[in-house]
Amino acid sequence: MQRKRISTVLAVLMAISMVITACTPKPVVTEPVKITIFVGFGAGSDPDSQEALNTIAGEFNASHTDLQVEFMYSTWEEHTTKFSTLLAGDLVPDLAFPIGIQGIAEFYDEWIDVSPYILRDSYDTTDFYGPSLQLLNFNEKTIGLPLGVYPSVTFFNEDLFDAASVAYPPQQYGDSSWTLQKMVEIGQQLTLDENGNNAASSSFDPTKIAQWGWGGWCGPFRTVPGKFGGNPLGMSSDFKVAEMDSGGYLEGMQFLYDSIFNWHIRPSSIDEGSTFTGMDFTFESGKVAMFECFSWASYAFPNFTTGGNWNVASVPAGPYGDVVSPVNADTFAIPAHSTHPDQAWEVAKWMMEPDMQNRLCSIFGCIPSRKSLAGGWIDSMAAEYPNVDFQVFIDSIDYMDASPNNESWVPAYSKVWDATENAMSRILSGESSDVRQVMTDLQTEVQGYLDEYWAAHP
Amino acid sequence: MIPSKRINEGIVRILSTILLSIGMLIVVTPLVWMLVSALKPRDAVNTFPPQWIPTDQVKVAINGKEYFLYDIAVNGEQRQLALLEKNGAIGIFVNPQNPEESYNLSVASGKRVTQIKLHWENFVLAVTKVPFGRYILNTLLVVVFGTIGTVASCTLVAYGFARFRSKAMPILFLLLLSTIMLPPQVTLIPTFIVFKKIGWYDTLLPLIIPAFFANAWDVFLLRQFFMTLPTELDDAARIDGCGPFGILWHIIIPQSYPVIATVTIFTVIYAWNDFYAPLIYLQNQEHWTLALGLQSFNAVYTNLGNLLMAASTLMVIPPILMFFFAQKLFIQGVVISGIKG
Amino acid sequence: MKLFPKSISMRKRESLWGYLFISPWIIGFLLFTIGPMIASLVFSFADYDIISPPTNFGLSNYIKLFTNDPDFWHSLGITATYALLAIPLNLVFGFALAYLLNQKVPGLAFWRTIFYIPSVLAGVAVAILWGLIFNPKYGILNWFLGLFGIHGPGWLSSPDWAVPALILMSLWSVGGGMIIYLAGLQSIPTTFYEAAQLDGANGWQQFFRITIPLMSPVILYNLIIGIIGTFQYFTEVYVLTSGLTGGPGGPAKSTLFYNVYLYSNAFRYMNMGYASALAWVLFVIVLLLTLLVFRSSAAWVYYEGELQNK
Repeated sequence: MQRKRISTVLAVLMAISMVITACTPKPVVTEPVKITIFVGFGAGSDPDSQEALNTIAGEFNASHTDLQVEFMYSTWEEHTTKFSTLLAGDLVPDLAFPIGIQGIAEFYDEWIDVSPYILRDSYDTTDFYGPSLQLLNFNEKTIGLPLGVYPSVTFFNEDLFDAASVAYPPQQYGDSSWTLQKMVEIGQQLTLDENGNNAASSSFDPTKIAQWGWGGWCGPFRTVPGKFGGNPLGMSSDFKVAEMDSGGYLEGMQFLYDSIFNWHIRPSSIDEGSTFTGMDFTFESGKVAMFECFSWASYAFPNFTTGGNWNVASVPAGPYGDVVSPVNADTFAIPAHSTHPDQAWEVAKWMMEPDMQNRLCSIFGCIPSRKSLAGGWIDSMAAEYPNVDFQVFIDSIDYMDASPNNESWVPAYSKVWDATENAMSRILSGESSDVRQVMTDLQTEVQGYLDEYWAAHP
Repeated sequence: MIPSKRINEGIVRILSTILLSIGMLIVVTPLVWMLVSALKPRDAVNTFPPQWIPTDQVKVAINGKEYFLYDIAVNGEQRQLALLEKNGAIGIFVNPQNPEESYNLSVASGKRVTQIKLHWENFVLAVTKVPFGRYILNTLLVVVFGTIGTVASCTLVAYGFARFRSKAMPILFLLLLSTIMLPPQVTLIPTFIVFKKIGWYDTLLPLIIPAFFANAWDVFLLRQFFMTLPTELDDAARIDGCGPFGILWHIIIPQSYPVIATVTIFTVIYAWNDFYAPLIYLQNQEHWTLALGLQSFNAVYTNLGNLLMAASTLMVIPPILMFFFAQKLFIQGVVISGIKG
Repeated sequence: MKLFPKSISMRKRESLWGYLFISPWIIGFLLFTIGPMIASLVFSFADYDIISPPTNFGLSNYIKLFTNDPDFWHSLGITATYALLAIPLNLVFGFALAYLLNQKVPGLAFWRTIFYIPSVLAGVAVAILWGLIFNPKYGILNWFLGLFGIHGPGWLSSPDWAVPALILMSLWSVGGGMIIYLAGLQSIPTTFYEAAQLDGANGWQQFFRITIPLMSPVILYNLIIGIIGTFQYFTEVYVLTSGLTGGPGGPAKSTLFYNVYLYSNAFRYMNMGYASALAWVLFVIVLLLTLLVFRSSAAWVYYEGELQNK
């Protein structure tokens, strides 16, 4: 009897509690919005970066209830394939990050204009370097906020300069004696054949070069014409007429040719392939005295150190006085087909907070584009490389090619890009010694692409 | 045996060995380079001239910081001193044992001290920098089930093409071959959309399930082999009451171990190394395979050449071991032909 | 096992069994393959930039391809040259290697494994390793040539020698073909050779009268697969040359293989319609070549167990 009474009581209690539960209004539980961030347009795909980014994602997710982020990684080689496949399959990521100007240009029509957000939130952009903001102001839209910049400087090997008793190049900007002409001069003094004769001497043997004075410009050809008074994009401002067989394009290519085959200060691409096996930069070998490259080469700084005691100097002026430090930049971009642009913007702002920006830049190797962070960046780099003057990088920002940038959009972007790079490869490999002809061929080819584009987009 | 014949055989054997040795040299040298590079320090994987022996530039610790050690002449005596600081062409060199003892010398007159060092820790690093265990698990899933599916389905289909006549067979066979004549880049996106619509995106299913529906390469190969098998044994089995499945199981397959082993090996290795399909169909790193993980060591703006080589070396070992031991299936010696004569 | 009723004729029954056995492939074809193939055919008649749906249906892709695209002919030429040289070389070398490793050489399993390792290596490592073999100054190949007093060329960095370098590279992974030939050689009953020896045949006669004919089905396989494969040659050359000056297509477009050009159109220039047209033109070319070879195979391929198809 006892047992039966207990079970009855239990049953009644259960029934009451079920009724109470059913009648109480439930709090509305919303699923947190998941923001996917596509990493693959530039840095960020290697195991160390993946780990660091995943940690950051963990921190974000722990501190937010309505929003969650997830990074998705692609190799850079296949990033256009992966990204366009996702677009075609309606699986659009909410953010592309980090992405450079080239990445933006590859899918130019896909990114939204974030200036309405900037206005709406009265986002304070005063801490960013002016030129870096300019970079992201395209014709009709602003894409992203500058995360980091990568200005170019002249890297030089102090040991080689010391051995040849040549004075180091200037580290301050504004020295009017530091020109490309001067660079060629000291380049020749620093190019030695196997018998120790330099390239300016009459007994120099160009077939037996043991050391080169100049490693070239590490970027694509479009970083060059600006130094010769030209336009990096090589076409009229309305993008209708190609201008590649004259002016900065022609002179720049001629300089490249001369540097290899007349002045002998730069190795040809065949020399590079044969001598400097597997190196990203010939400068790593310790057998190249100077070269110009972006600050993202910092991943190779340990290799530079293996090559000798190195330092950085300012960028020399071109024949018409142009001092151009070609720049690459990282930002974020929000695809138009994203389903959560507002939340993506919130995530982007969180990433751009000064502390987080600093952290991201140390992962990607960028110089944070906030003026307030410059000192901290210099200190952290100087701790690892005490001999190098990192102020030069900061100074170079004032000379960057902001508008147009060497990676800026043009019609038939990748086709024109490939055609330009191919033309340079013909000169660097020695396949052609007629620079005029090569540039005329390029002009014809690119004009064809432009005509084709405008015929389809009247 | 006639003496000249024995000489002939001897010459052939010597020639073969010489040719094989030359071939082996060409084949093995890059592999040695891979191993050597895996043992190099991060900042000296590629040097000019290339190093075949992993070498470090020696650094010494003084007051908690590291400095390069130089071989340099002081007052006519060769000493090993650490470069503390550099001011233009002159550097401050100190005695690592006694940092108070310092000299101002021309840096260019000295040379950095090097030592041979094999960085075995690179192998450990390669494995710990990525979720190795997770990747192996996923890879094994793909490899094991993909291989089972491929071998089973291709054997069945090849048997159909080899032993059964019909009007449509030649056309169907041509259709089969034509499926691999179209470059896959242009069918990538529609195929992706198919899998996405089924809901298989970010799963291993697109890498496994299609294997169960045969592929042109293996079917073609198996079919060629099956067609070299005489039909008399089939007929004998049929008279004994065997149906088509029975003939396949008791007659065809036992005579085909070399080619089935070949197909198995090819499939295993292909699935083991394939990074492209995982790149396209997977997203979350929880689902990544080894091959895709290996790719991340080759990322741009990084300096992981030594780890890439270490990881590549590790990845190559299981397939090699598998191949080495699977050769028992190749060495059949006398093949049972049974019927003739 | 009587799956089909006796009322169906023998012939019908045979073909039904045949369809049953090949049904896994047919089902897979209908599920996964035919849709995308048709889709790509449709794309080839349109402008398709992947991001927006295809538009502008018409023949313009094909017209441009045949009349106004020098890169099409250039890439086709490079690919055809490569195929013409690589296919026979691979055929001969693979066969020779398999033959050598079918003899009683000590440590057989070891030798075979060594030669097979290149085929096992993941692509990303291969590219880096090959920089070493072909390095004009420090590479093994030029060192080897140097022993004979030959000054080796620039190989991959040189526009003229890049394709020959790639052909040589294809021989490095000849281990793949070797395995297939080995399997074939192992399947030849030794009784044939014993009988021939009794009849007084010497080594050469045995080779040409027994080995080659019995290996002809396998040779046919490697030939067809070789044709299909070399015309679609992509991964190795892309990995190797995309890092060199000049981008995909290598220095001075010397390694602009057909599939590299196709890939550039598909995923770099976002011109999937044109890429699809390129794909289908290649399809037709390869199909015709394959048919040609199959037709010729009646004359030189011998199957022990061949059935006469109507």
